[in-house]
Amino acid sequence: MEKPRRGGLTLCVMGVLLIVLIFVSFLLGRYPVSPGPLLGVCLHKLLRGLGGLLAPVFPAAGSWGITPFWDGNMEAVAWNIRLPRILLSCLVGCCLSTAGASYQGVFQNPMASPDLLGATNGAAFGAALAILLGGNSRIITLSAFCFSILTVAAAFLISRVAGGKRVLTLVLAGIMVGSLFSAGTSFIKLVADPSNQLPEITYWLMGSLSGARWNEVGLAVIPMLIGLLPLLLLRWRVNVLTLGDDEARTMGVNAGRVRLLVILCATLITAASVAVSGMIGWVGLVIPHLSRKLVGNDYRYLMPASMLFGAAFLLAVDDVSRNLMALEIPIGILTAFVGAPFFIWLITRKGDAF
Amino acid sequence: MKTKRILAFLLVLGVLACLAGCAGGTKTTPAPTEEAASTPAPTEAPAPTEEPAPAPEEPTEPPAEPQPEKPDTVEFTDDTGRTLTLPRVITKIAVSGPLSQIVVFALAPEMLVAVSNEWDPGAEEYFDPAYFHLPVLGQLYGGKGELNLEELLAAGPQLVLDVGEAKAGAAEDLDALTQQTGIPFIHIDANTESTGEAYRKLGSLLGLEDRAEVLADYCEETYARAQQIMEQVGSGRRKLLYLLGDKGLNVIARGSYHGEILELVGENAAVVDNPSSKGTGNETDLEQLLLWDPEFIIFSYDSVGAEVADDPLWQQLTAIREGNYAIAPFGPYNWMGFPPSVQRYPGILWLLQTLYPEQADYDLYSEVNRFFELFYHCTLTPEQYEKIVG
Repeated sequence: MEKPRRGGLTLCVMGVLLIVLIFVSFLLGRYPVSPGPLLGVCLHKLLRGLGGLLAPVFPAAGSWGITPFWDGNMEAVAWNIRLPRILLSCLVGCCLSTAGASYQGVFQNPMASPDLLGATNGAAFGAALAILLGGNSRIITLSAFCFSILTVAAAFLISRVAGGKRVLTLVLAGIMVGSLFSAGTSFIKLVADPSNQLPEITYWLMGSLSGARWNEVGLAVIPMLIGLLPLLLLRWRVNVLTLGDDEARTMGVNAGRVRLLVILCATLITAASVAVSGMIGWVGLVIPHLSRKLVGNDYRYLMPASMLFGAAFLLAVDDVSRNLMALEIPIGILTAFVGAPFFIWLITRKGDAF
Repeated sequence: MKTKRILAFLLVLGVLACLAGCAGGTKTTPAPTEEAASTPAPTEAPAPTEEPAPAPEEPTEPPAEPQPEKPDTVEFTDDTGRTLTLPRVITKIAVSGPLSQIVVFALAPEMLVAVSNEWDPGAEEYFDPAYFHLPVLGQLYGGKGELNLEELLAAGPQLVLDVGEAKAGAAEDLDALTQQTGIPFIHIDANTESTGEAYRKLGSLLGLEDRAEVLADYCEETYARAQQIMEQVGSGRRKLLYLLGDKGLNVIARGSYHGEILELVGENAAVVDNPSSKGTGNETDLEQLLLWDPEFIIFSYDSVGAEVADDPLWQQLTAIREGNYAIAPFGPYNWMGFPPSVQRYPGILWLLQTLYPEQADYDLYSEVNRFFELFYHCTLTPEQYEKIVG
């Protein structure tokens, strides 16, 4: 009974750490705002929202709020620019890492990552297509999301039609459909106008959280929660899946159904993340492994650990991305730059076999 | 062991946070002065429309001061049809991308608080250093991009200009950015024929009507002059090809948006089934070039123009054999129009004189120098001119 307690402790530490990191990130930015106005704006907005909700019952609540001691720019920075972006980077990091952990468990493959079944390739194709057709950013996001789901659905149907070992055919079908869509993306890049569309596609493919807005967060959070909650609740069953289908059956778990559900949820959160952020590789592959080093292979702890670690990692990297230079650095580039050396250091440490 | 791992994890996150913090801290220190200088601007920006959050019945933020008798703001309807409230007096602006940057720079260089892209390195020898070294904020791609919104707010522009061809969804993206930052994002349509009109609109927006009129006149005069010369040329229009690419085997075909000025000054020999709208044009081969058999060939500045004289393959083309080819000038941007912006006007003048020296008997140097004075705010020495055109 030694291990679970330690796992729980680690999770608590990670949770606290994430909260601290969120506060620190809120203080960081290119526009100088001191903590006072920052907290003032947030409190003001929360009171306003709460007051608005309570106004029908207590009319006095409608006028709740703090007299502004900040200017309009500070309010825009704190509430419209910084906060939605922090939330979005946490959500995306959490989702990608959780999806990676889930795929790794379901497919029994340490190299599995959220793009295994072609979800990111499909999203890239959808986004490139929307850019080619001149859509605005919301249409690009929706198109990326739909094509992402479509790709995985296609892979799944193909694997159903094909015989043989189900997991293997699913992975193969995912790779095939994914490569089909990435060829489609290349074709779109070829025909896109190099003076405006091509740089836009290229920028999208690099992955970025720049320009995150409240309605983007609102749009993404629904599918993300729909996917994350079942994964959190099903995490014990993922443990059983790793033993193999026969053992799972003896333990009263329908492996096929659980696998389907986990794949469905993981795909949903991957699609939602990639649609709002573009291609951010690396997080989904490596963060689950790092979490494994911290809490072990038990999915009861691994799943929440991946969620917390993923959120914290992407938030920290995004802080670098928006603070290091005057220009935004696409976060998809930075995740690998920051993460890979750390990972290499971790696996080459003496006396600590992976 | 576990505690060690947690410690390592903590350490890495801490380092990351510090890294981000240092970068933010060091660079942002000069900003407060700018912020102080720009404080009157944002209060005039449309504060009421700035709420993306719920609570629709919110009263507007500063109800204490309604409109005084002399309003500080004006309504402006941009080319996407959005009506925005702008400060009456505008002194600080920013731009959304490279095309806007070139167009706006010609009209109001002193108003630019920053540029979206670094200037072409070749521009350094012509431009005023104060303009050449403006801070770079990054480019917008749709609603996203390299443009760091906090950095934009710290630079303190009163509005952001997006000039060029309107994309289908531009209005919504620009609206969202306006709401998010409180800075109005304005789109102005512009292409080769309507550049003059775009300048007049920009002029009335920025309170620079006179200067805008001069620029608009230049654009329209140049265009009219080209048409006049072509009337004189009459049936003597020459059959042209504009070749580009590292092998010289890409061609801007007839009907392409990028070939506008070719059709203005001659007859584009490149007729293909589906002309590409890309700046790199359609791919072709030497056989096709022989079939087209143009009277004159223009090579882009980075193409094979310098080598064709000694190349037996290219010598098969009559135009090359007879020396009827030229390399398009480049400086600071490609005069043939990539990006398709104002440097096309000296491009038109150069093309006319190259193709029809009898009819186009003006002094090209003084014409180009006038363009540089008007649009780039610098004089072009004869040596610099030789370097570009020679």
